[in-house]
Amino acid sequence: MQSTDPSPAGRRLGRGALASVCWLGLLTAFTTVRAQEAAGGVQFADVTVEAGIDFTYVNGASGQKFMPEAVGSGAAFVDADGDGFLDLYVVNGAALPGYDGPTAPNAMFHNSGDGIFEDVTTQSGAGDEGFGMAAAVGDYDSDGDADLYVANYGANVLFRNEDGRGNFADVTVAAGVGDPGWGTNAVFVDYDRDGDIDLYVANYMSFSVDDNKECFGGKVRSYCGPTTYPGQSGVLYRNDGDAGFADVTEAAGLYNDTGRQLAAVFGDIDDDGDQDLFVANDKTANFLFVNNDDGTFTETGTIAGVAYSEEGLAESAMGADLGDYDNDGSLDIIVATFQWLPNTLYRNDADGFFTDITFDAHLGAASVPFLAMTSAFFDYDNDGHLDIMVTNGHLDDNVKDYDPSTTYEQLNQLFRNNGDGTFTETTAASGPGMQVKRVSHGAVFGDYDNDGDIDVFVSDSASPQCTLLRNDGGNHGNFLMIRTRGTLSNREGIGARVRAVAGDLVQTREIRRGYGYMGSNDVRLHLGLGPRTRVDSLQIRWPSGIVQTLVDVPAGQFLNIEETAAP
Amino acid sequence: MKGSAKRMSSPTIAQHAGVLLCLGLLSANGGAAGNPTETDADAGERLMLSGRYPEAVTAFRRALVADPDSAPLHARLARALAEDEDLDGAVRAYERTVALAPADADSRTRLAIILTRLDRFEEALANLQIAVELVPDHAWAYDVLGKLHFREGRYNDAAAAYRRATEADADYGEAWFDLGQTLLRQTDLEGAESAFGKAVAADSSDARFHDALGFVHYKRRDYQAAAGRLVRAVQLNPLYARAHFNLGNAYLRLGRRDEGSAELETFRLLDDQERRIRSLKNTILKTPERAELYHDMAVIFGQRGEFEKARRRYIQAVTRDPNFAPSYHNLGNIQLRNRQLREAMGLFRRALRADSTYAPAYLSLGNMYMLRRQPEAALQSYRRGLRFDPDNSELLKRAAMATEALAASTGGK
Repeated sequence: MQSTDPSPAGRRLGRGALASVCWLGLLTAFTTVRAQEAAGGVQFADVTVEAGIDFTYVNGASGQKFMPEAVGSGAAFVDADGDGFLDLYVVNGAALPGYDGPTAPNAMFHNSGDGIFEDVTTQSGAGDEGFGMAAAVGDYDSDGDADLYVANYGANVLFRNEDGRGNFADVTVAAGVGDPGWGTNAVFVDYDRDGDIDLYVANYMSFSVDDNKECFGGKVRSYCGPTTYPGQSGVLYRNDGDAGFADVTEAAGLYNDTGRQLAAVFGDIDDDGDQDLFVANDKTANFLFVNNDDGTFTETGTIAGVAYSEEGLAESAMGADLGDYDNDGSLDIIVATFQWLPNTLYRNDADGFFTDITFDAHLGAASVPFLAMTSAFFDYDNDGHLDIMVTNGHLDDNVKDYDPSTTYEQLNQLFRNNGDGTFTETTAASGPGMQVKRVSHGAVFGDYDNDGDIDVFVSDSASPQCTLLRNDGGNHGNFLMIRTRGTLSNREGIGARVRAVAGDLVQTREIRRGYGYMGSNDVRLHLGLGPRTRVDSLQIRWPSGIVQTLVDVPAGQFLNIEETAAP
Repeated sequence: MKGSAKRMSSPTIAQHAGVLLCLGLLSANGGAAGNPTETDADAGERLMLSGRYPEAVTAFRRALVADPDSAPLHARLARALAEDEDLDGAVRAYERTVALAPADADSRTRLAIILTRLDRFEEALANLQIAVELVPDHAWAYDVLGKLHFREGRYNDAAAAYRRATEADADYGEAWFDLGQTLLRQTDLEGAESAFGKAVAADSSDARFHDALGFVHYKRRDYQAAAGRLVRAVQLNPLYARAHFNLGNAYLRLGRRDEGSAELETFRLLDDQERRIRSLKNTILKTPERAELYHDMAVIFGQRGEFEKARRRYIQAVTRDPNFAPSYHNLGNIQLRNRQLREAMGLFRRALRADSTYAPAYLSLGNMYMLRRQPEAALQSYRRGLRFDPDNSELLKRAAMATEALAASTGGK
């Protein structure tokens, strides 16, 4: 079964280029156009103010260098009211001892569909006031609307979408998911393929403000390294329907407190039909938990070659993502890392091993001078090849005092996939929204204006300047936007694997929300098609095991696909 | 017990020297006083060689009283301070050195290395640039300069600096190795292989160079050749973690899963030790007076079989805190390994003078008595230990053995 939604927004091709002609004259315009071509003709415009997003981030810092102040927080693209437009949920920090400035809860912004967002935090009931880190979105009760889970430094909160119109109620206690650890990421996933989504919470470390250690960079006070405090295990909650959730971490083989978990991403890494888990650990070896499809996982990170970089370094891993960047049918891994380390790209060799190909892919040198937090695959120019966005920003506001070679505020970066296994950094040519140095940590991805290309919301961990980056020109290439609805599988089809063949272009993608850093993204699957006007075949392998195939699908549409055994 | 550092008010070097001397610790490298005609500067050098860095610092400072404007003496003081982990002091001493001898490129290079450890990269860079201006063929300075560029991802600059180093000294293995690492990051596999080959030619005993060549084979997916080269690296330096990492991965790719897993497990163990050592060194930079930090580092070196490094760190611990019993005790164990039984016994006793409740020293002392076939004294020592650690299974077992031995020696009377 399939249906289409019209795309309400017109295309904005060439807007940036025309502006350049007017302002800077022909020569400059020529240069600009050349630069834009290098970026796939895409410009990211900072539309935060015009969109009406007024959000002040509170990191609660008082100079005592409490660790939670530094790591930032995320956001979520969520269609809370089911009107077809992505709303925006932004996670906020809170006061810590010694901080006496203003505070504000997490915020919910309603997308009116005309480019304007309205603050509906109070009405939504989702304005949690804990020290927020991450947000996860998923329809945990399979009632057709998006629920919301917030991971905090402190007890986490589950908000149930009560009426499908964006009115949320705190159901944490009844659901039994209020893990009290330092939650840095949360992901809904149907790990046991039983038709409802479960929940994994990544925890960072056992930090307490009462046991705040003094650390130094050179002679000045700085945030402590991640191994200063003991690690915490992540938590896997199994969804038991009306009975709530059960903590099955140990039974599933996921209990491991040796890491410092900052990102958790699920995907079918070994292509066996179930969801595996990659966990990015800060300064400790990463985990790769392979799903045994019997309710348990086996940790294989070191053997598979993703625990350490090719140099044998336990990276200071921050955000991470899975994606088939080389369109070979296997999910690869990108990991954001700390300053003076390259972000690492692990290619899935599809034989149980990964190869660190960071420098071969031309991603290494450009990333060394930056402290990266989000790293995410997305096809910003609709050419069918996954590009990479990285958000950067140091942790220490006084980093200049002990390392003058870097800065607190840093540029974010965009790397365009050349389609030949390499990337080219296109930051400078990607519009004014990409030219701003900030302390950008979280980022989420989605088509908020429903124009067929992927926009970005970047949260900022120090200044109040979060940024909504509108993708102008990405839809120069054709696209297909797919929304899945499971019947036997979980309601949103999370974990469904999609294989799209359009002429010579073959893409393998998965339905998911949780990737990057602390955020939750557009659940609709975006497929860039470049000049291709049709998808020859679209195969969906649902978590239930059902395989469904659509043929000769026209490009340029928003496609709803419902799981059915007989397509 | 190791965490219970006892602080004291700046003990004098003479006090330490006396303590160590009476325990025979200094016997391997001569006494603290040395030859009566020995100059303070010579004494400092001798003390440096024996790992007694705080005393070396004192000796060099004494020498500088007589000759305050001697650049070489300031440089030697700086080296001693650096070895003693007083990096700020070392920087000051090197700065004095180059102020007195502005053309001393070696000291500028050493200064740059210390500044780098302190994350003072811009100052390091400035000193290196002066060094290579002063001595345009200063291979070492170019190599250190390359490392600075490499750290910040300036690979073209790094490669250029390393090339200058190898042009200045074609047998400079370290610079070839560093050049190879840079070329790897520039995806020039052929160039990297050539550079690593030259590093091996310059020094075939360095495990890192073989490891790097093995890694090039690995990158080329020639896992058999990689394994061969990496086995050589592991043989040359069984403590080189990265060689175990690469060898483990090569074995895995060859389908030798058990061997691969074993090598990766060794890597994890060594890597963990190295990270703990680095962490302790960083902590020492901030709090150099804490004896237990040196002790903890010594314990790790001991676990790695690096007993000379362990010995030097234990000495640093008891220099910081002359009443730090665990370090005396472990020094005793090192002496025992060296079959210096009398010295070992003296150190176990010294541990107990420092802390009469330190049960492990009673155990070790008892063991020494047993070795000397003195079961009565041994039993007495074990029993004393049990007063302070009544559940210590080893003490209980040994006490039972000593009781049996005593009974046997007295015919059951």
